[in-house]
Amino acid sequence: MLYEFESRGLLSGVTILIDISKLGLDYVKEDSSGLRIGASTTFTDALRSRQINSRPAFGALADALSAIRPVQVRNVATLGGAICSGLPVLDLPPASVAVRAKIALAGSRGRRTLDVEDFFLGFLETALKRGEFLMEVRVPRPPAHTGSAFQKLETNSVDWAVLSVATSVTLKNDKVSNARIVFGGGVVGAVPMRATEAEEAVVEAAATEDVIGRAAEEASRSTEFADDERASADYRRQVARVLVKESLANSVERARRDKG
Amino acid sequence: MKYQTVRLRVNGEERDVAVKPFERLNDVLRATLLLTGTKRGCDTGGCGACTVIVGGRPIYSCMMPAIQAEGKEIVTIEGIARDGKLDPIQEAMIRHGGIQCGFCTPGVIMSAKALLASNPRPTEADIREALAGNLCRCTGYVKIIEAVMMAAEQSGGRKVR
Amino acid sequence: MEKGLSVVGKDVPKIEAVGKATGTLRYTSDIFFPNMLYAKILRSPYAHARVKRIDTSKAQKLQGVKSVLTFKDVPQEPYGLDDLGDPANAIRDKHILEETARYVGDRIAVVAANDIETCQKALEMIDVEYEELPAVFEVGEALKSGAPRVHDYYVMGGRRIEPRNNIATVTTHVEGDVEKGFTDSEYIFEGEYRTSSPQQVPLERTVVVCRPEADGRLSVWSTNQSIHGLRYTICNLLGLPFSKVRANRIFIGGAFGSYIHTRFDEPMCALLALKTRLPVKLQLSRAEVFTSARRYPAILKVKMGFKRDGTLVSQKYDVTYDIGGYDVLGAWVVSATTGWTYSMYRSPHFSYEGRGVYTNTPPPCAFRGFGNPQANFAIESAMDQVAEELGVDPIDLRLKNYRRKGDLVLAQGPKVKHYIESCEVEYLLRKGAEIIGWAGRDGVKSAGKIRRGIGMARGWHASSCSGFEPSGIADTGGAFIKVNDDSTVSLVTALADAGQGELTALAQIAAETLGVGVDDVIVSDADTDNAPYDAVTHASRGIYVGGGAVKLAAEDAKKSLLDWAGKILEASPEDLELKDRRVFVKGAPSKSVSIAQVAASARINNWGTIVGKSSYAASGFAPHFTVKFIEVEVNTETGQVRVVRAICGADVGQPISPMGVEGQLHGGLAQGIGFALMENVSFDDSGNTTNTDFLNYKLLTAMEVPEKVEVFLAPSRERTGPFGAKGIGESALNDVATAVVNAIAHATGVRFKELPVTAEKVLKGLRERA
Repeated sequence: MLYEFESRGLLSGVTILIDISKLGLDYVKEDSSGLRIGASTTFTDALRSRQINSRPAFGALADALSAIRPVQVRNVATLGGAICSGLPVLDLPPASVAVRAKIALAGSRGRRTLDVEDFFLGFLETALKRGEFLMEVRVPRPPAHTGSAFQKLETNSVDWAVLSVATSVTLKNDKVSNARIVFGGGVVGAVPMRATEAEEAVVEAAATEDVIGRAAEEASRSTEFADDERASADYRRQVARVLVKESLANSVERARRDKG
Repeated sequence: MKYQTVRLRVNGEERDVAVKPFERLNDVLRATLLLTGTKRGCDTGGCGACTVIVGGRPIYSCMMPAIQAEGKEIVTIEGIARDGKLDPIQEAMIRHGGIQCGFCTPGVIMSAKALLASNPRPTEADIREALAGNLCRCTGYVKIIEAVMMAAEQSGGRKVR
Repeated sequence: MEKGLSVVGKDVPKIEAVGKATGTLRYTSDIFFPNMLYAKILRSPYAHARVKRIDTSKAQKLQGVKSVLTFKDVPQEPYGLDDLGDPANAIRDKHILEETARYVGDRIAVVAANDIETCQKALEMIDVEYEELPAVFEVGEALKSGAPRVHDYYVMGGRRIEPRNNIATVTTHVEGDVEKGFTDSEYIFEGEYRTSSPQQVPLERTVVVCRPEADGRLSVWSTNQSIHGLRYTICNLLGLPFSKVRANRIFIGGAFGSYIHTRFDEPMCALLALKTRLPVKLQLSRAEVFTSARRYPAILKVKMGFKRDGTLVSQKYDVTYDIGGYDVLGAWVVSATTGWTYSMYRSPHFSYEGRGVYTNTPPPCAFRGFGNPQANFAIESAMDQVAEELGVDPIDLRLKNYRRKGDLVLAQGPKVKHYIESCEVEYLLRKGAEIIGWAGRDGVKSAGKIRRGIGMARGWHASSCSGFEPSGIADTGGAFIKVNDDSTVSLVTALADAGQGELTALAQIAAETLGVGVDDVIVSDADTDNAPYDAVTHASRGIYVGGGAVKLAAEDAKKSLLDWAGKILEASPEDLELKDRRVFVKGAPSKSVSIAQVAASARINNWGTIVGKSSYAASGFAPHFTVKFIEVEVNTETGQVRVVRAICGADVGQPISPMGVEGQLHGGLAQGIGFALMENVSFDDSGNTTNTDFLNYKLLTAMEVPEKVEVFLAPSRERTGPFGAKGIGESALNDVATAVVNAIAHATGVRFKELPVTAEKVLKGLRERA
């Protein structure tokens, strides 16, 4: 990513770069509060961790981590790097919003925690203040019967998403008690975009194919999609229906399997 | 320009090199150490021709600052053959026609080597995924995938469908 | 197929494979000379602009900068590429560096400095004032009256020619009377097709290294498909005698046609090396490679007249090519498309009119097929549509009308003529149909979310630019051979090898002729000093002409070898044969002598030394034929298309290396699928190229190539080719995209006439059909 930014002239004002890879921030832990993943954890290490694979509730994370191709990139890309990039077209940001991740920042003025959803401000823009860096990604322990999933549409296997969506669903007595539908790449605004009307449409409803279908319709209708060289907004709108339906269906299936 | 000295362990040998700030590992390997077996096909980590193994994992050497490779084992294509004997992957690529212009070849071999080290019995899908980051414009990948499968079988991993 | 061959027709590892597999083989990219300078080009940010003022003084003073050149430092006369044809016909519209930029990225200045970072800094210190001029980006706009003129004039044959409506070149060819043919027809088909502009994407980035020698000469290494062409153009441009430049043959990391011409960067590098008296390396970044070469985009209008039974009566083709800001090979591709449209199917009436139109975009150049993939897309799509409308099987329609044994075919222009000898099109069509299950293809279709379909296309390409009459295109080759004291054979050929395995095939040919093994052939380093002229390694002519020259040279060497062996064995040369590095008396296997012994005896007895030479001009272009049968899966919810199975059949005469032929077919398949579904260099409305990296320019990775790929070769032999061989390089690609699009039509009922057929277009087409 460093050289990508450099080649686009985005580092011209930078005089010092500090390498934080040796601060011991490469870990995946689990405690009563949930998952704690150090910012320097590579995608490969995160994917292989017992913790991320321990529950279908974390499915969106596992999906997003393995959707980044090729393996050469997964071996060096870090969770902190992906989130701090301010590039919603990457796969991790929408997945992290779907699992309600929080991020712990540290800096010369102390430490603070934010909802990851509030961290993304715009294209290449995050809530990171001067002198701050991201220390840890925290995924709060989801209630039992939570499932999440991420999928994306791409042109070839090593593409950025034409459109991506992450969802999470919590079931209570096979009714949806909580849901998130988050678009990543392919939306206007350059931040992960929650389809809140669609989320509301599924909450309190039974987790049926019908309900899922209607939520997908709503998500497709109420979201503003981007028009660019990869695809038109109209195409994205149509495909969004398909992706959201699949993603919700996956999340529901995983929620049913998730024991907590 | 302020140079930094960094100690790199390349193909089992310790080398102290002076590097420019954020100089890419790829440039240090090719221009400073004159290990030109590793290639450079693009500038933004998109083609895979620069693939080397660092810390046992395949990475894009054009995307890694040389200083980040300090303290880790770096293996390049020059370090694959042992005592003049070619690696089974090299043999298979040569015999089976997996090499046309050859520019992607070192990167492909490194990715394949890393794959077989961690997964000695890959399926065809595993091989395709492992090579997804190595572009080849000449072969259409068919004979490369077959060669890696052959090398896996030859190295003792049994055929997996 | 030939019988009794020991080396030709066998799969042999390529002679340079070990070097490539161990990373020890050096490409031009890997050349590092002591005190070598690096060079970088300053490029215009505007699509059309005049340089009002350029001040390089600050850049020249920067520590580490050794030379800065602008248009003022290069020859002022416009030049054209004229090494392959009559110089009087070359379109001269370019300079090494320009005062007027004609595309975004056009070359304004060049810097040579100690390292790349200094070059980059120096570029930023060059002060340029541009006067922006109106620009055109599409042929439709360029052709309108009153459109901005990309070139006010070009020079040809010493005269200034003003291109009207930005048309730089026109080729026409007529046989019979097409309009009469249409009135005689019972069914008329018309269609318009548009092809896109994929980039060649060689893995090795374009690069040239020039090193001045102490004796005043200049040595050059470059990713270039012709060492003689390179020397010729550099010397002509810089006013040097040919003896001053030595162009070296070096393995190339992929070319696909993008290097058949001498580029802009090569004479720039030569100039810098001569001025600085230091070695200079000029390598393009990947982004620059994307803007320095691509396929000529085409708009093809087809009109065909048939009898009800499917007999083709009349064919009319009108083709418009976008040739970009300068004519690199535009006149050639327009001329060549005469042959690509003429030679597929027979009809009493035929007309072709093609034109090349200037636009303010980066000039395209040659890319595998050179107009044939474009023509194939139009013709084979049309045939598919016609078959459907006439209720005729698509294969039967081809069988009825294809040009076959004895028919006249044309290649790179109306003057390039050949009568077909070997032709296994029928075998290919029937066998391919059998393998894929063509008869039951409608059965694979499904009604669900995933629709399957099977489509086919046939194609061909010439194996050289020669015909039975003078073609007007330089196409000869030659070779030197010597037989050494240890039975090894040294071979000198100017041919380029960009991965196709040319040099290995030539070694096989030499080995077969002289009765040695392929490991006994040393393909020597070659340069313009020691290697006989070979026009350029392109047009699928490497084996047919290059190999033809090698065979002749080997046979020449064989004469003295057998003469002297005859002295030792006391036999007449006609009674001798070569095998396993020995000379045998035919029918008396115990009477033999080793080649090594013959060479040694010749040396000791002062008989002489065993050498051979050849100069070879082919008298035809022996078409090679292919068929592609493709099975696709179309996701009707997302429009995504996956090629799940591909059958590639080829008639290459006698394959020299079957493994090599297979490799070409596989590679052409991947490129063709990319051409069909995703590859296209794109521009915004200011003429900027929008996809100059692998993130945004999409091509096939190992995960997209079909799971089931099968290749079959037709038993065939071409009398005029070395050991019966023909080419394969371009027919491997020409018909792939068409077959994919025909398969999509079968799966979905939607006919796409514009490439690339992206997922979005498929979804739109499906919705419109519903």
